[in-house]
Amino acid sequence: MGEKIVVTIPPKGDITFEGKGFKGKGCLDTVKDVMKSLGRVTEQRKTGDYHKVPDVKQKIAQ
Amino acid sequence: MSHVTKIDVVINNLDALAEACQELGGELLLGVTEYKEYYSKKKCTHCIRFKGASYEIGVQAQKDGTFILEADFWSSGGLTGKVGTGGTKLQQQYKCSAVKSEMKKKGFKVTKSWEQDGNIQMEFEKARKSY
Repeated sequence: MGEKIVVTIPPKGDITFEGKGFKGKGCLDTVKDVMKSLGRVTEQRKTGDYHKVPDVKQKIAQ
Repeated sequence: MSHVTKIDVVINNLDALAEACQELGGELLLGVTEYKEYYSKKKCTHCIRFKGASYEIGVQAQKDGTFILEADFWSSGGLTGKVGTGGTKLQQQYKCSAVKSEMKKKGFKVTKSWEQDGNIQMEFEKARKSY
């Protein structure tokens, strides 16, 4: 699966960023500057994929 | 999925605010320093105007470089129908425009956009380079 970011914007309250298909810190690095320029980070949660090491196929594709 | 992040947005991008106003049928009037409310006019930094609404929204610059919106949302002023109760629709649209603008700077583009339970959702993918 390619790297995707799904952003959910409710009428009121916080914006949620969800990284899909990222391994390790990739997602966080990508959205760090975006988040900083938009406002105040209220919550960050790492999911299972965060700790995965990028596989060889992905490295070749890049 | 590798990361979930929640952020509380502040208004600091006037281009995104202008785009959000346009999306909802309004206009951000830069440098118009008064906005209409009940039976008076109030000072502001910029003004947002919607056709069909007799009241306007004031955009007030803050010392930290951000902006806040203020308006009289009394029903007869006509703003609620345009921007939602308390301006929620405008704020939501602003967030969309601001996120799109910032993601574009990082090389991402919107590939899908949809609404679910009042939430706007957008899917971004890294834009491919064309040779």
